[in-house]
Amino acid sequence: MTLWQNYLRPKTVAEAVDALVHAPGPALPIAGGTDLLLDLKQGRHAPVHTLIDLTFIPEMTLLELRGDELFIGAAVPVNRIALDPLTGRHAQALAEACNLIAGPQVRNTATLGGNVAHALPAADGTIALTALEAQAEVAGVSGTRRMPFTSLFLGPGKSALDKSAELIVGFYLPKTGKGQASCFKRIMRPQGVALPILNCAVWLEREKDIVKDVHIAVGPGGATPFRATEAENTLHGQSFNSETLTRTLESLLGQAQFRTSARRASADYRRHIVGGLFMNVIETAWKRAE
Amino acid sequence: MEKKLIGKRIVRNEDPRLLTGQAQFVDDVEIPGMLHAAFLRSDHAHARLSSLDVSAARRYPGVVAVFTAEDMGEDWSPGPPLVSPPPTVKDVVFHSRRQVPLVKDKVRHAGEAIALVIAESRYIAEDAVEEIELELEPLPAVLDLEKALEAESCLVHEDLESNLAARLFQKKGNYEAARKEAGLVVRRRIVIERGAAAAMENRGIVAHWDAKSQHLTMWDTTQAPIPIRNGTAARLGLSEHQVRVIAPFIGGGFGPKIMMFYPEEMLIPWVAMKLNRPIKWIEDRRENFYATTQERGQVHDVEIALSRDGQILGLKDDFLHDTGAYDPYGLTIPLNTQSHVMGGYDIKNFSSDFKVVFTNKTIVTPVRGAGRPQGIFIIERILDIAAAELGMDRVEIRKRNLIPPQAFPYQHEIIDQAFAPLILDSGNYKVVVDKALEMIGYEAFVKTEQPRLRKEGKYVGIGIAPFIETTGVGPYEGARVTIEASGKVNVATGIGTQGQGHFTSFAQIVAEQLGVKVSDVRIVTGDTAEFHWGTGTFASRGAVVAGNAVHAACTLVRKKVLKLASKVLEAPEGELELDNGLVRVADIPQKSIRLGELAMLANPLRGAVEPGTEPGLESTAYFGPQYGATAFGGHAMILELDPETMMVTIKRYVVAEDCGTVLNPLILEGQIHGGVSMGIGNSYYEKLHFDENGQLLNASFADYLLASSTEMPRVEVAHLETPSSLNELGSKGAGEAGAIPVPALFAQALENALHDRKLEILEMPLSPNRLFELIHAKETQ
Repeated sequence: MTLWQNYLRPKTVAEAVDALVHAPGPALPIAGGTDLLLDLKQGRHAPVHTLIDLTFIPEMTLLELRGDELFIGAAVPVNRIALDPLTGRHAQALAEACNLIAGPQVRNTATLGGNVAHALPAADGTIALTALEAQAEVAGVSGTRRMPFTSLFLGPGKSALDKSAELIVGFYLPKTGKGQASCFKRIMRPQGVALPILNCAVWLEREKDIVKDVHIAVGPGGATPFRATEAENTLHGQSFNSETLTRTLESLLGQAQFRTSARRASADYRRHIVGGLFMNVIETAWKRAE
Repeated sequence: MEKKLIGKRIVRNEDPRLLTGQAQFVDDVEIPGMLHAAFLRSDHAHARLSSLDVSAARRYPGVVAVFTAEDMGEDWSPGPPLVSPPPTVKDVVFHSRRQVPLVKDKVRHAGEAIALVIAESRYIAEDAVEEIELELEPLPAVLDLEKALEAESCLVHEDLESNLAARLFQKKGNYEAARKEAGLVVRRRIVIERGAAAAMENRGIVAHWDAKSQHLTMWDTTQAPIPIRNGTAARLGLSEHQVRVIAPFIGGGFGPKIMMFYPEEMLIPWVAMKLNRPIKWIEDRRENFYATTQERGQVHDVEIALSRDGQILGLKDDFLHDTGAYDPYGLTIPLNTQSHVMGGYDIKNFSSDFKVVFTNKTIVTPVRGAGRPQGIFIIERILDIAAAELGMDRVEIRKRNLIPPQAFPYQHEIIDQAFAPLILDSGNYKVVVDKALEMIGYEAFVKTEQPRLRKEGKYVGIGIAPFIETTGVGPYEGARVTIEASGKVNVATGIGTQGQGHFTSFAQIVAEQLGVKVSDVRIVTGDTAEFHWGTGTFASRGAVVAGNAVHAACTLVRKKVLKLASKVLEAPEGELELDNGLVRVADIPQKSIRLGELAMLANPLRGAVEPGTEPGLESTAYFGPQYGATAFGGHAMILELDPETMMVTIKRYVVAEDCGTVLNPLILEGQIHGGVSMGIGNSYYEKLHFDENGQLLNASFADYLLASSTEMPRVEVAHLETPSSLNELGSKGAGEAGAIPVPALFAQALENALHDRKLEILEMPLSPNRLFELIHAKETQ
């Protein structure tokens, strides 16, 4: 069985959207292909007519500062994100997450856009972007628009994007200012290519001992990438100490909906280990923000 | 006599080729006109084949042929029985049901082959497989060993009354009488589940039928080329001399590449003859997870009877063994379990009844350890539990029961997997255990280090697990040793090699006797054209059985060398020595002749070979042990458990090993390191998860986690040598040793780390998540 008929390499975002909309059969964008090609080959995704390769569109492979924001093209390989000094400076959680995705070969080709488009509730890059309050730039027939990051997701593996007419161009992240820092860590069985059991990203702003602002994301803590808003509210404006952190964790546990993934981790186990992970991540971010 | 080369750390002759990519593997074989094979495999574990239409696949451009069971006609027949008839124990039950080349009427495990497509390329072949129209009528999958034996269970083989494949009972002394006198009886149910062997190289076959010379050559990733040659010749109606099987370099065997006669091994040469074209089939990793044999599934009900001072009075172990959909390898694995469940302990009363059960899972044949890790896990677990109940030290209870040195050869009074009496030939067990304890610093750790670390809130545990390993079983192996005119030595033997270092350890055996350089000895394994007789590499037997055959052949060649040299040098044989590639008179070193020159003199171009002699400096010899030599060892480890994540870091790992005469410590240590890594996988990472339909849920390395370098501790190995009296070299096998005691050790060390939880580990493999569940269940009890 042929898994696709046409493979296109557009040079601009507009060309790519046009190809997507006007393909004579089912069409999909492809970048690294590390998930999509396996899904096609192993029958988890129906064959498509057209694959549209986004990695030759200059706009989508940029990683640069734009005013007060950091822009990361959706087709930038995650390895570049992990190593680039700009992400190290302004999106430390994302750099850390990208450095842990799969193994080196996969990181050289997999992209952040693909990580997000797959819409998994615990994708490492996705969880980091959630905590960093990224915005996605989405292109469609009527041009491009910005979407708050969390609005991209409907459910496990379900993206809010219209896959037949829209694609993610890239992500905007606020630059990291004074007193601000982020951190990403995950718990996984030690093998390099294993999938995570649990991951967590925190962005915060401190003013002396006060948590001025905080974003907390945990995966998988629900059907979509989970932002622990109740925990954030608990900690917001409070002094950073073990008592407030304990209450923050309680709020997190009250809101998160852990689930059991067959053969990887049970919901109870995740609930048990999230505390240690969260404390570790937030303490690291707190120290970095000094 | 002081040995010059045997026992030395000599780097491997074969490594330069392997490390520079110059070694031939099956997939490297390219033959002009070669076609490629792909299989249609069942998605269901248990299903009736209701319709199969391959016509679209046959029409697919680039497809040369498609075969179904029906297309095979009279040539369709199950694989040969491998290890039968069953032993002559009273009342043994054994139903032989062997794997079939292609499914005819009913699928019995997911991944079973249904049709074979032959095409111009593998791509085309795989695409054409998708064109086959197949209808399967699913049946309930038989998965659980106990439910499988219930009257209402669906049957894997409908011609049988139940899913019972075999049953065998053995005893020693009188367990029931011993039990009556016991001060303590401990009974537990212990469950061990399946893992994969996961060799780096999957299976592969290339078959080339040359119609003009009427000769078939088959490259096969097999551990046993000669049985495959013999069986292939028989199936195809050829003389054994018309078939050459080559097992080239192989990226790991670990058991499943034994002489299974996999469906692919039956089909690929058959198709090559049918189409008169070379055919290649290389297994992919997903196929390997479904179609390559697996092992370890057993459920044990074990009971131990002891005196209050910790003397074992008797042991009873009844168990169920999962053989998967077929049982081509007979009773080898459960017999090994039965032979190892008494471990190295002096147990006078024993009773064990096992039942082998058919299930709708991949076929079970030996995987490194082959039933032994289960036996050791059972005895070591029940001893740990008994020690706790008696308030005794774990080390003390073991030492009290180890077989004393004067008791060897020790009769266990049951038969083993080779159907020979289980006799432990020699050993000095307590010394080995003491060595392991000394290496790990047991006393100091338990008395000072561990309490200190526990005070710091650390969960550190220590364990010690002794084990026996029956090795080096018969029937026999042979070798032909030839000194060539160049002075170099060529050796051919019938076994295969999958990384064991035979090219070096055998060369050391040769060089020791013939006085040549190790690098001047060329070893040929795994080529039936080079040596006609033999069995294969399995059961930790290569170095013992083939090694001693090489040694025996060298002894004969050495005699020929001495006889001829004595004549040429005009000196008595007793005054000659072989060294540095020459024979010289010991007292007059300038009086010498090169071995190559002697070889030429032994094979003259003119004149006659004397009556009663043979040309050349060549001899062939065979070695078959009376029974297998039994090795012994003790592993000890210190681990630290993260109480949050339940992840484990191994801090120290030591091995004290007595496998008789050590041929090459470097190679032996490599074998042990590899085995330990497999054992760590079997303990905490590697478990095959099947769903209620018999579908394997983790058939990829992203989900089936092999122990990797990040989980491997530095393994410290010490060698003790109690030579076996069963062979000239005094050697015992060690190929499986590394893997055998690890699950038992891991469980003990984990319990020790969690000493305050009073946890009993009664299953393997575990995982961080599973350990969490066990602790949680204990807390909420």
